[in-house]
Amino acid sequence: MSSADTPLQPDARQSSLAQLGSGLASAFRRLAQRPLSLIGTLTVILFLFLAAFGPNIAPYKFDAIIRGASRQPPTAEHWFGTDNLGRDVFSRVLWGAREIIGIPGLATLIAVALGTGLGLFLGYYGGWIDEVISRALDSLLAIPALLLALVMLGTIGPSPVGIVIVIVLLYVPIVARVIRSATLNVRNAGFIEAARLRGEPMGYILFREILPSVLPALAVEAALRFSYAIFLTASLGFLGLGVQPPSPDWGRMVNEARDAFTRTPWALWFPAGAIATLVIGVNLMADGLRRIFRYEGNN
Amino acid sequence: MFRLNSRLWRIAAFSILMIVLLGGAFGVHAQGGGVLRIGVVTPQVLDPSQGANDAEVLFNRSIYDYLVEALPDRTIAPNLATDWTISEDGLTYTFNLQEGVKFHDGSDFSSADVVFTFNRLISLKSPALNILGEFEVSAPDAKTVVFTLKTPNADFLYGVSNRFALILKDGMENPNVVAEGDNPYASFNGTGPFVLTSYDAAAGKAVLTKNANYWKKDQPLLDSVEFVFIDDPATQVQALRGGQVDFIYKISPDQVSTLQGDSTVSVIQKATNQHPVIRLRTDEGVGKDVKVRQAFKMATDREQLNELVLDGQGIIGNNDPIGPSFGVFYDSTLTNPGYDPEAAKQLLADAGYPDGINLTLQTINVLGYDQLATVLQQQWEAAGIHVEIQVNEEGFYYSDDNPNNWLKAELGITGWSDQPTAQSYLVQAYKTGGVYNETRWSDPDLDKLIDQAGVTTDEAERAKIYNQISEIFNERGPIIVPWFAPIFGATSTKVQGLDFAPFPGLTDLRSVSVSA
Repeated sequence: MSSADTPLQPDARQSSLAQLGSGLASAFRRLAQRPLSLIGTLTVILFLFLAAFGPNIAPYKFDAIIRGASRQPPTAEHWFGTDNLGRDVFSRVLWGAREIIGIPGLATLIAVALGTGLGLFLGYYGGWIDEVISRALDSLLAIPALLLALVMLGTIGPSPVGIVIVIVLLYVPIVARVIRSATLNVRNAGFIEAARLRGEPMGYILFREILPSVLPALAVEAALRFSYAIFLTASLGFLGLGVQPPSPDWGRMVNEARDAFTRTPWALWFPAGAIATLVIGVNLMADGLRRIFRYEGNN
Repeated sequence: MFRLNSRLWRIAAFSILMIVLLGGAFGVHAQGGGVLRIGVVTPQVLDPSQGANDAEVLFNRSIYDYLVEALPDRTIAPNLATDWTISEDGLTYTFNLQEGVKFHDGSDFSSADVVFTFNRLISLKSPALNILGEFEVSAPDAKTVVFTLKTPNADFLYGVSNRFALILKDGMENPNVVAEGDNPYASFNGTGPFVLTSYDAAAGKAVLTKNANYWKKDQPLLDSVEFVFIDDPATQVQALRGGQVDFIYKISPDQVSTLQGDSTVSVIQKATNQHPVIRLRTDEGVGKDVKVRQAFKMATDREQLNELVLDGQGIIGNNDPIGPSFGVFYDSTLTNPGYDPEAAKQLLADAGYPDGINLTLQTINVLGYDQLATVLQQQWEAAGIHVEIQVNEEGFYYSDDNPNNWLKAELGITGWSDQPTAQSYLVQAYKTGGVYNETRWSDPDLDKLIDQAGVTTDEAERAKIYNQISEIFNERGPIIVPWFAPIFGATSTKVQGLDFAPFPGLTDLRSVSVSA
C-alpha cells in the first residue's frame, strides 16, 4: 500500500457504511410494502423478541414439574396445557425460542462468515485452487444434509456445540458456492480492475470492493440458511440427537409428545406449530429480500 | 342307474351342502388355523443359544423346543422331557424324553441332541450358565438325559428352561445361518412347531409354516407365522392399527391409551419383574459412601415417578430386584427409606458434601427412561443432587464401544428385563465379581446369603434368606428400583389363545389361532 492512498481510506469507509445503512433502511421499507413479506418479517421479529425475553415472560421455568398438574388441556392458567410430566407447555415453548433461534442463529452467522470469505476468495482468486476446492465442496453437497448431520453428531456426540459445528460444516460449502458465483459476476468489472491497478491488497478488494456488490445475494442466502438451520436443529432434536432433556427444544418436545399424542395433543401442537410458524416466517422474509434485491439465487 | 332322479339328486346335494357347512362351523373352529403376523424389531443374533432379545427368542422358539418350559406363572412344565426326577442330595437330575419326536429334516430326536445343546451352552459361556451353574450332562440311553451338578441349585429347572436352552440337532455347530443354494434354511433344523420357509432380511420378513409332523397332538393351531421387521415402536403400533400385523408386544404406557380406543385391538397387560435400576458405582466417586447411597434413595419420590412416567401402572419397588412376581421371595413388609429431600441433604452434608454434588445421569431412550431421568433430575435438585442428563440410544448404552456404557457410568439407569428367577439377578449383577455387576458392589454378607439362597431348596427357608438380602439392599445397597413395570402387548381381536409371557419372547405360539 502506498502512503498516497492512505488519506482516501476513511472517506471510502464512511461512504460505504452510510450507503449500507441507508440501503438497509430502504430495504426494510420495501420489505414492508408486500403484505406477505411484512408478515414474515414481523413473525421473525416476534420470535427474536421471544428469544430475547421469552424466559422473562414465561410463567414457569422450562423444567419445572408442577405437582398434580400433569396432562391438563389448555386453560387460563396453562395457555398451552401441560405435558405428561406436568410441565407448562407455554413456558417451555417460550424458553425453547431462545434455543431454537440461538443455536441455528449462531451457527448460521459463523457459516455465513466463513462461507463468504471462502466464496469471495475462490471466486476472485480462481485458478486450480478454486477448481480443486470448489469440486470438493460440490461433492459434500451431494450428500443429504440430515444424513451427514446424523453421522457427524454420532461421531462427536450430541450436544449444542456439536449441532453448531455440524451446521457450520454443512452450510459453509453452500454459502461459499453462492458467494463464489456472485463474485464471478463482478470480478472483471471496472472498479475491481481499478482497485487492482491501484495495488490494493487482496483483503481490501475482497471485502471492500466485492463484498458490497454481493450483499444482496448474501442477505437472501443468510436468511434461507437460517430457516434451514432452524429446521435441521428441530429435526435433530426430534430424532433425539440434539440437546438433552429437560431442554425445551421444540423438536425434542414434539418427539416427547408423539407417543402421547392422543391423550395430550396440545403438547405436540404448540411446539410443532411454533417450528412451522418460524420457518415459514423466515422463508417469507427471505422471499421478500430476494424480490427487493431482484436476486435470483440457485434455490 | 346312471341317472339319479331329480328329487334324489336334490336330497343328495342338500346333504352334501349341510355336511360342508357343519364341517366348516365345527371343524375349522376346532382346528384354529390362520396366519399370525407379528411386528418385531429386526433380529440380529439368530443363533438359538445366543439370541437374547424378545424378537430373537420368539423367532427361535417357533422353530425349536425347550426340554422343559417355564410357564408365564413361573411354574415348570414338561415339553421335550415328559418327566424328571431329582436325587435326594439335589445333585442329579434325570429327564425322560418324549417318544416319536422328529427334527424338521426328518431325523429322530434323541438324548444326544440334548447333551450337544447343553455342552454347546458351556463352550459358548452362555449367560444361561448364570442360572444353570456348573454341571455335566450325559446320556445313558437314547431317551434319558442325566445332569450332574457340582453344587445343589434350587433354580436348576429354570436354567434348563431358560431362553437360550433351545434343543439343537447334535453336531449343528452353526445353527440358523441362511445358506446359498437349493436348501437355504437347512441349518434352521429344530423339532419345533413351525418350519422356516423364507427369511428375507431385505424385505423385512420371515415366514414360518406349520410343522405337520409336530410331536404335540393337535398343535400348532396356526397355519403359519410371519415375523414382520419393524424397528420403530410407534410404527409397530400404527402397523397393528392398520391391520398389517396381528400382534406386537412392546408398547409404551402412553401408546396404550391410543390402542384402548381402537375396537379392532385388544391390549394385554402383564405384571412382570422388569424394572429400571438407578444405580451408583460403589468403587469410585460419590457412591463409595453408604450415606450418599442412602441420600439418593431419600431424594427419590417413587410415587410421583410411577404416576408421571408409568401413568400409575407400575408397582412401587424398594431398593432390590426381587419384585412381587416372585411370590413369597418378595418381602412385602419391607418399606424403603421414603421421600425426604431434607434428610437426604443432611446425609450428603454428613458425607462431606454440604454444597451438594454434581453428576451426569446416563440413561436410555426407551421404556420411558428418558422421562424417568427428567423427573429424577427435578426431585434430586431439591436434595442438592444436581445432574445433567445424557440420553443414549439403547444399543449404544449397552455397547462395549461406549466409554460411558452401563457397566462404566458412575450414575446411570439400566433396564433389567424379566428373568425367570430372583437368583439370576443377584448372581449376575450384585454378587462380587458377577458378570454384570455394574455397580462393582462387593459385600461379603450379601455374597454369603446369595450363595446360601442358591442351594436352599426349601421355599420358606429360601424366602427368609431373600428377605434378609432385600434388607441389606435397603440399608446399604447402591441401587434404587422405582417400580416393577407391567408390560403391554396388543393383538388384533381376531387372535385367540395367546398367553402373554412376562418375557414376551417366551410367549407360546402353539396354542394361538387367528380367525379369518
